[in-house]
Amino acid sequence: MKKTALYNIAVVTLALIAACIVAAVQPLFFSRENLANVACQATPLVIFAIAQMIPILTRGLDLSQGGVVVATSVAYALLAQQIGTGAGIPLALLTGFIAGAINGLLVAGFDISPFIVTFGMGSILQGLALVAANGQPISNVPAAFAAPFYAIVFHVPVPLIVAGLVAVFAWFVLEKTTIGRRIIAVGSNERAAFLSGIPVGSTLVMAYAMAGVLTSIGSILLSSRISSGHPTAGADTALQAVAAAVIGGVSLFGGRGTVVGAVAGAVFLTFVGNALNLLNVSSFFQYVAAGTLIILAVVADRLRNSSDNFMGRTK
Amino acid sequence: MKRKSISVFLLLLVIATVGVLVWRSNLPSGPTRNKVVVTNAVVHVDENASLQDPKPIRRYKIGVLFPFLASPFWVNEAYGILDQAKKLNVDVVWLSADGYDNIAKQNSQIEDLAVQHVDAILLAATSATGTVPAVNRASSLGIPVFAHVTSSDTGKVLSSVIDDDVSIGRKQGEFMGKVLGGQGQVAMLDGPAAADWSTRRVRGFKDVLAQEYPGIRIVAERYGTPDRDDALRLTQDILSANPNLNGIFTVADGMAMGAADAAVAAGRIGSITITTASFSREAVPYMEKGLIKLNVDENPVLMGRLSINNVVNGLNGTPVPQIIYVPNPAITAQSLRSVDAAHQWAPPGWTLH
Repeated sequence: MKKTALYNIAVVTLALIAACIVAAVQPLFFSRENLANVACQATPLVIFAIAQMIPILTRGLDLSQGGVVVATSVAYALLAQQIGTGAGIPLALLTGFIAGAINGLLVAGFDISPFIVTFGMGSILQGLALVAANGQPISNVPAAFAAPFYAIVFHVPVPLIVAGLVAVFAWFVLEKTTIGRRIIAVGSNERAAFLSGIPVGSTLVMAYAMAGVLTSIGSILLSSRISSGHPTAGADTALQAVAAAVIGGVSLFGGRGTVVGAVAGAVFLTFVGNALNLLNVSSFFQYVAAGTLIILAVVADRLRNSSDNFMGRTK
Repeated sequence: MKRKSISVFLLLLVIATVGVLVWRSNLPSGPTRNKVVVTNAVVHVDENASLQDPKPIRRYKIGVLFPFLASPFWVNEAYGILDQAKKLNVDVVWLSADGYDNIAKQNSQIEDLAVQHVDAILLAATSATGTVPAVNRASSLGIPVFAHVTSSDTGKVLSSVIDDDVSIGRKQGEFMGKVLGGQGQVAMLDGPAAADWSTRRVRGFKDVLAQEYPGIRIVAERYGTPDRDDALRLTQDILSANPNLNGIFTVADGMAMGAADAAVAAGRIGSITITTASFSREAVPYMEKGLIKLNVDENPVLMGRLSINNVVNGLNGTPVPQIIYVPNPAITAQSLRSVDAAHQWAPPGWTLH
């Protein structure tokens, strides 16, 4: 526990120092406009990171996120054309729910590696999205289509409200409900969870279904941001979301991670990209920076894990 | 538990604070600008026209956005932009979305440039429709937006220097139709699914075949990234499935080279006509050997130079046309010699960094 607290303090301190250096070189970094930009830019990734965290907590992974994003995007656009934006959103969210539930059923029912199951599901959804959209972006959508990202309610941009609600919802489920505690238990030690009577199968199905729905919510923000249904934009979502979650301290070994951490990881990654843009750092070099951060985060995770084992358990 | 509650409270606080920050956020006005004057003109630049370099009336800072830089075409175009900017003493901040699918990333880059108060944004859009909201936003903040190579579907783009992609496809269709004598089977290697430039070239090619050469049948059509590896693999499969294939259309010559390699390996290059576009330096040996029969030229370096000139003219207050089309001559092995390399390619060894 002490190690974890120390880690958190170290990360926050380093982030603040980095922010001060950037602000000294480029004063625009802390301008109101820029902070507002970054906050909105970060919202889809924040939601994707929270969604991704839930299967990771069960010691799994959801590589179908990219597929869910593009399939939801195309579904949202087609539905918006047919029955309107308002009615289209809940139906589009079903895309993620169904895909997630199937992921969960396969992982739990056949005891297959989530890596393979979700990878396959992602590919299926990617293909279906291309077929449904005929390989083209769907752009002739109603004007309200872009509202989820660009509308402002009581002076607050809607994407911030949506991301906030998703964060509170996920926090509530994980911290305050039985299903949340079961998810953590399954991820910490699946065998022990099973022996203590936790229904591991249904817990996994719930976890993946929840990840799917939340990913679909993020996809609706993303589609609205680009004001079109797009069969390929966002296909690399899963890896970015994993990176954000890991940087936020969510452990790939399962059972450990917080919503606050996932949100912080996503916001941090977005800020890094923004800072490098404002400092005119080549976008090629930005990959190096992002990759370095991700590796550092995983190494830190590993160190925390092994030291906890060392102190807390006997082998 | 208490600590968790505090964390959530802090999170909500952060969200609320940022929300308040957004409230009526306005950019402080940048340096005073001339109003950009746009005429309704559509200009087709002549291939042999000499460039009229404008003189910037002060040192401008232009934000340039690329959708992608990992192909010869974009590197050559970037060279035209950066070299011309250097020549005119204009500062350039450039960013790449690194993929046509990264539309949200490009929207973020547009917003990041707007925050920097650049004098103008010169955009090559990842997606014509997807970039509309961000371009509108930059424009509403008073930043003039120009386009190069690929534009955005909004009236807020003041002036564009672009290819006529439909005509690039049509030229390939007309050539294919004549060479095959109006009869035969062709395969199509399209670019990335949902990339507008590719979609328009494909449409131009198909329109010509449908209208003028109904005897030519399209037996296969595949999407792929415009590079050799992908095209090689796709073509191998197409050749196996279609023993009587007579022609292959490709959207860009990275693909044409892969297709040619596959056809040579299968011993069928003699019976297959390959057409393409982009005209990169790497494709020249393929054309000399007759492996690629037609390559529609896009003049990327010229396009880059014209784009910077167009922005500087606009910022100077000189009227600029709505659209400037660069010349897209169809090049065959016979006309290779007459090509002006300075309009096509960055000097050997030139790099972006």
